[in-house]
Order: sequence, then C-alpha cells, then structure tokens
Amino acid sequence: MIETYKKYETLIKTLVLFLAWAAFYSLMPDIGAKGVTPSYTTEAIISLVLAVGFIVYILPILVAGLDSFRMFITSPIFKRRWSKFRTLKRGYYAFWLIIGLFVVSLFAEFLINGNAIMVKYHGEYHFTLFKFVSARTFGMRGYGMPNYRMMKDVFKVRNNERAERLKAGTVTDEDRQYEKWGEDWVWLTLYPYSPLESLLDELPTRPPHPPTWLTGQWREAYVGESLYNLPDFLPTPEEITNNFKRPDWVNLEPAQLYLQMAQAGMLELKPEVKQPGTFQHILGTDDRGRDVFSRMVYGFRISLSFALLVTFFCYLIGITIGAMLGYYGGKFDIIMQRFVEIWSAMPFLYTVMIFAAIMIPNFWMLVLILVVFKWMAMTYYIRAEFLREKSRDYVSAARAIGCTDGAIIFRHILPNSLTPVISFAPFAVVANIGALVSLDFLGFGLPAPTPSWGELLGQGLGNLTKPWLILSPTLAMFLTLLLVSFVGEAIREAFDPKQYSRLR
Amino acid sequence: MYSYFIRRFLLMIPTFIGITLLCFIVTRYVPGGPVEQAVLRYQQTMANSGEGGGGSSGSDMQQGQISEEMMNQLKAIYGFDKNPFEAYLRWLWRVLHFDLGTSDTYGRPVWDLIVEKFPISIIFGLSGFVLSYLICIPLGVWKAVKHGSAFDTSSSILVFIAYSIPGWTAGVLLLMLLGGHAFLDIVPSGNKESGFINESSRLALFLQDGAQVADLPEEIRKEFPKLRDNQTINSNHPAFKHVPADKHFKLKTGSHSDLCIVGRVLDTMWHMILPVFCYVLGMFASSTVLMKNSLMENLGQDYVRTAFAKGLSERTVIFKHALRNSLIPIATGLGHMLSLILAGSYLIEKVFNINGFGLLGYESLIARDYPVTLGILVIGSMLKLFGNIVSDFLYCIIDPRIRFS
Repeated sequence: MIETYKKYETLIKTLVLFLAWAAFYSLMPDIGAKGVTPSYTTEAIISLVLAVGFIVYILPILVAGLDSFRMFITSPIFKRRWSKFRTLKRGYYAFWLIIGLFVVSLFAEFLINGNAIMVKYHGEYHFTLFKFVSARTFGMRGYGMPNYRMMKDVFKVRNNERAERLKAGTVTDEDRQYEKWGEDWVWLTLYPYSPLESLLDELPTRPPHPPTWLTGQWREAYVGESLYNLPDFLPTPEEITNNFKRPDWVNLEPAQLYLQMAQAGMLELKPEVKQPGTFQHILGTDDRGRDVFSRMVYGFRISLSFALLVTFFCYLIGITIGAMLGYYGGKFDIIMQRFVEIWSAMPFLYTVMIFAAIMIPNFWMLVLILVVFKWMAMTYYIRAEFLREKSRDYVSAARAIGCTDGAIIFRHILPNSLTPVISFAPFAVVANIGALVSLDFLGFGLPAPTPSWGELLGQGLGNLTKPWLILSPTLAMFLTLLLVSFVGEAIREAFDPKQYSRLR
Repeated sequence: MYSYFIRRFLLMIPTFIGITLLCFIVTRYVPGGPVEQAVLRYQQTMANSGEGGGGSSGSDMQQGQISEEMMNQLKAIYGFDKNPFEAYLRWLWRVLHFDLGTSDTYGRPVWDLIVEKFPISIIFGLSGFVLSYLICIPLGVWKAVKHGSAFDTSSSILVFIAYSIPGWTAGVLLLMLLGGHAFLDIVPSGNKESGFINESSRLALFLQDGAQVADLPEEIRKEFPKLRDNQTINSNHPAFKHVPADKHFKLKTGSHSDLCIVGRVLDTMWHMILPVFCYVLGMFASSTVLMKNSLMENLGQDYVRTAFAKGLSERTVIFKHALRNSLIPIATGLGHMLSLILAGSYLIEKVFNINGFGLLGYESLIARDYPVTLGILVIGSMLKLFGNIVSDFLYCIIDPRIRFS
C-alpha cells in the first residue's frame, strides 16, 4: 500500500490538495458567519493554508497509520486470532448482524421515508427521492413537498374514475391522452413515514398516538374525541342481550356502554374520520405526532455513526500521543503525562453537559466535544505497548540498518501494538452510545428535530402512561448494546488470550 | 513514597485551575448568559405591564429599551463588568475562602445550596454502592470458583443484560412498569418520602395541599398552636410532625410525618428502592466482572499451586489466600466511589426527581445559573481528584508490593 502511495505520490497529493481546498473553502462561510464575514480572498487564502497544512503534516501520518493497520491485519498472528474469533459463534454472528443492520440503516432513505422513490405522472417519470419536485408539478396544491401517501390514494381514485368513464363511454380529452401516457402511479418506500414529519394533519386525536395494531386503544381515543357516529337511541336491555349477547352491558351508564361498544368495534366512525391501517405506525407516534419507528431507525443510524466517529477520532489522537510518549520518552513524556492526568481528572459528564448546554452543538460539534474530553484512555495502553516494544531486538535491528524514527514507529512498532485498540473498541462504542443517549435525554445532545433515542426516552419520562415511548428506545438501545458487547466479549477472548488455568 | 503523595497533592492545584478556568472562560464568552436572560426577563415584564396600562414607569424605561447605565449595573450584578481573567482570579480567591458566590435563581449562597442537597445524593449513592458491593463480590467469587459451570454461564447472561441497560434507562422503564402509570402500581414513583395523607389520621380531611389553615375547625387547630391563619396546609409541614400515628406500616398511603421512627425509616427505604436499584444496576456488571477476573487471575498463580501442594483444602486456599489478593482492585474502587456516585446522580436524580446534587447541577445549567454550575463543578472535580489520590493510597496500604516513586 505504501509502495503504491509512493509511486503516485505527486498525483495523489495534488488531487487531495484540490479536494481539501474545496472542502475547506466550502466550510469557510460557516466559520465566518458568526462574527465578521471575511471577504472571499481571505477565505481562499485561509483555506489554502489549511489544505496545505493538511497535506504536508496530516496526510502522510494518516497514510502511514493506515499502512501499519494493514500490516497489523495481514499479519499471521492477527489471522490466527481472527480464526479464533470466528469460532466464537455468538460474537461472530453478532458482529455481522450489527454491521448488516448498520449498512441497511445507511440506506434507510430508500426504505423508510415519507418521500416517494419514483412517481409517474402524465406519462413522465420523476425520481422524487433524488430531486425535489414541488406539489404543483403533480397537480396538487402548494409549492412544498407533496404528501405522497395522500397522492397515491388520489391517483388510485382518479384511475378508478377514469376506468368507470371508459366503461360508461363518457370519455374526456384528458382520458384520451391518458391512453397514450399510461396510468399514474406512486412508488412509495416500504414504510412511508419520515422521522421529522409531523402527522398531526393525517391522524385524528391528540399525539402521542398508540401503535396502530393496538386497535382497542385507538377506539378508546376516538370515543374520547367523539369521532364515532353514536346511534340515536340507546339499545334497550333486551336488545343488548339478544343482539350483542353481552348481558354484563345491561346495567352500564350510557357513556360506558358506548365505550364498550366502540371497543368491541360495533360503532361506525364519522364519515370524515379515516381509520388508520393495522400496521400503519407499528410503534405509534411521539408527542409531536412523528412516527416512532422511523425515528428509531434513524436514531440507530445516528447513534451508531456518532459512537463510531467518536471512537475513531479518540483512538486516532490517543494512538498518536501515546506512541509519541512511549517512543520519545524523556521530558516530553513526563510533561505530557501530567497533562493527560490533569485532563482526565475532569468530571466527564458534567463538563460535557456544561459545554453542550452553553454551545448548543450540532452533530460534528458534539463529536468534537466528546473527543476532546475522551481521547485520554487509549494513550496509556499505547504508551505501555510502545515502552515494551521499544526495547525488543527487532527495533534495535531496525535502528541498526538505518531506519528513520517514522519508519520504526509506523512499520515496526505500531503494527505490533494495535491489539488493545481492537479489543477495547467495542466497549468504547458501547460507552459512546450511552453517552449520546444520556446527553440527548438531558436535552444537551443533538439539536431538536434530530431523531434520537435519548430524546424519545425524555418524552417517555414526561408521558409515563404511554409505554410505547419508553419501551421502544429502551429495547432498541438494549439490543444494540447487547450485540456490540457480545462482539466485544468475543474479540477480547480471541485477542487477549488470558489462559485462566485452574490449578489444583 | 510520601514525596509521591505530596506531589500528587501539588498536582491537584494546576488540575483544579485548569478545569475551572476552562469552564469559566466558556461561560463568559458564549451568548445566552445571565445578563442576556435578565434583559429578556426585564423586557417581558415591561411588555406585560405595558399591556396592563401602567404608564408610570420612568422615562428611560421605555418598552424593550434598556439604558447603557442599567446594562452596566446588570453586568456589575452578575460580575460581567471586569475582564474575564481578573474576574476568574477574584472568583478563585473567593473559592479559596469557601465562598462560591450567590445563586442567581435561588438568591442564596451556593455553598448553602450544595450543603443542603449533598446528603440526599450521598444517601442514595452510598446505599447503592454498598448494596452493589454486597451483591457483586460474592457473586464474582462464586462465578470464579464455579468457572465454566451452568451457574457461571447463566449469571453471565445477567451481567450482559445489566451491561447493556444503563441504570437510569432501567429507572425510566421500571417507573413506567411498576410506578402505577401504565401497568402495575407497586412502588412509589419519586421523592424521598411519602407526601400522601393517611386517611386514618385526624387531620386527614384537612391536610389537602392547598387548603387554608383558617378552614380548620377550632378544636383541631388548638392542638397545633404553631399554625398561623394565612398559612397554606402542606402535608409535609413541620407543624404536622406530631400527628399521632395510627398505622405505622401503612407505607403507601400514610404521610411520612404521620409515622413513628421505624415507620419513617421503612417509608424512606421503600421510596428509595427504585433509584437505589438503578445505582446498583449501573455498577453491577463492571464490579462483578472485575471481581471474577481478578480472582481467576490469582487462582492461576504459583502461590495457589503451592498452597494446594501443601495439602490445604480448596476452601482455605480460595478464601484465605487467593481472595485476599484479588480484593485489591475492588478495594481501590472505594476511592472512586464519590465521583462515581455523583456521575450517576445527574441522570438518576433527573429520572426520579430526587432533589439532590445532580438535579441541582442539571437545573442550574438549564437556568444558566453560572455560580451554581461552577460551584458544582468545583465540588465535583475536587471529589474526583481526592478520590484518585485516596484510591492510590489504598492501593499502597493494601498491597505492600506496590511502591510509587
């Protein structure tokens, strides 16, 4: 890998320089927006400096680090441990399951989305998922995103009407054109509700709505909102016993009787009220009328990518600093170790709470805050590994043949000291998911409309009588953390072979 | 070795300064602080009074307008008029004299607030901690002794489950399941003691919260001379301390102050069950696994082999030789106890609405009450620093092989 890099070094660096410059340049206005807006030339200069710094200092380290990770992975000892890991079925299957779920959740837009994938209207195909199409294009009212679920129903009704007109022989001009165009249709996603979309307009009664398969609860709510067509006269006791075969209803108060009748499905809804389908909202809706299931799935994606990113950056910084401490030692080691000690004495949760409460961060800011207060853990392990490996013979040999410090660090020592990284990573992911959920729960996490488990749990604490708001995030979190800790346990067993020999 | 500890103590000073300076600067430079909030409050009240038609406000107090002079006064009140480093030094100087300032929202000294709330958190945290050690140490030992058996595997499942549910999440779940909201009504759902009214007590009819003392019949009022006419009745009021207790063990329905000592203790314990369970759950997995692994490691050592070779019974070897050594990592955990307890308390106290240290910190952050926030940060970080040193010290005392230098 490093050879390929060396071969095309100039080409790669030019390309990356351009990309980095473009990236920094596009990020610049955000940075400038707070105070004075810098002119475009200063922006260009600053972004150029940043990009060059990135290329000259960061990129070689990243490439070398990636290369030593490759060496670590291709080493025979890793392969042996990996085959050991594969024999631990529980962890191995959990590993693939969690990766599979994460990959699927990355494509959640194609599966769980209020936006339709494709629409055919007037013979034209619209790829609505990729390109915004205003409602007016489809002959609906408004300029925003159309409600595709409603549009599907409307198209169906229109198609039926057209078919009837065709049968009756009263064909209009439009109908003749439709013969050329073909029928309109909407290709909805598998679960057509977005996580951010409030469904208050579509659903009767107040949110949070129960899961739709709990029909009894819905009927009860309908009674409370008087959405049923009540019969003009109460049934007489004889009618109740004869028709409904429910003698225990005979002595009920009228309100109770209507409630019982509604729950048994004996009352008709008022014509303007639409009964939701059986599995329309499989986990109900939250207190702003947004679908819980879709928020759960998007929350899974955000939690896991957040945890993975925080773990990755923490380890990047932790490994770099730990390696420098272990390899160079001396005064730098002593001073830096004191600094790490000071830094890790911060009360983690409260400090992060303070920062998040005051700054009101977005996703990347929150990643940054957590990384700033969490990178220390890995330095200890890597430093210890480096101290141990430094005195080995192969390092002396490498130094004797004239390897540079960089070559010794990246090609010799680092590949041999990455075991703690692998065996601690799953537990770090668990801890980071927990941290994000806690912060969201307290209201210091991701900003408001972002789908997140912690925010849902916070809603659940405010609505303790609505179990679906508590059970769904708790179960989702439990299953995710369980899977990840299964993986972690198996990896630890495969990579940290502590033989507990019982002697007796 | 003593020089090591002296150095550790000296190192506390830069650590403390670093932590507080960082947070102090952040509170200074980020908008939305107490001054802005005060201005907002002022503008809102002015807008409201303007609607009421009261036009008697001063000439410089027009709606939504705040004069330069007033702004400076506000800044002076909240200590924002000096440059941040000078302000920080002043603040530090006061902290060294145990003066953490005055809370903006409560209007009371921060130190008093913290002292008031601290015992509540400590009671919950400490009982959770003790209980978790009482459960985890025997369980860990038993798991290590029976390593690989059915008991070990089945309790490992329990450990996995406990690891995958953060304590406070389980708190929300149990509150919903058992707290009488959605399913069962078994445990009380918040507070430290019952505030409900005992139906059999004589004052029961009048102890409705919100009723006026003047409403009480004359003969009952005579028994409670401390009550004044304009007071609102509150079942927790100290005046009701001596209400005779008819049924001591009516925990769910009785008022806490209606009960005798035993009853009060039981009542408090009953109210503490769920939060303490959450604390235990939070520490359960890590403590059990730590205990098990450390005993397993010791059981593989040569001195255990020697002890077996001497012909000692398994019981003696495990409990007299191996267990002692394997308790070292557990014992050093005592040092981290306080900070661990506080870390858990932010979430658990929020869930159960326990009026303790963590909830105070949370609410001060919501209200942007910076003196309280910084005060809690000071106490929290001091406890953590002391905890680190104490755990090192315990390590030294317990394990004579370890010499810090």
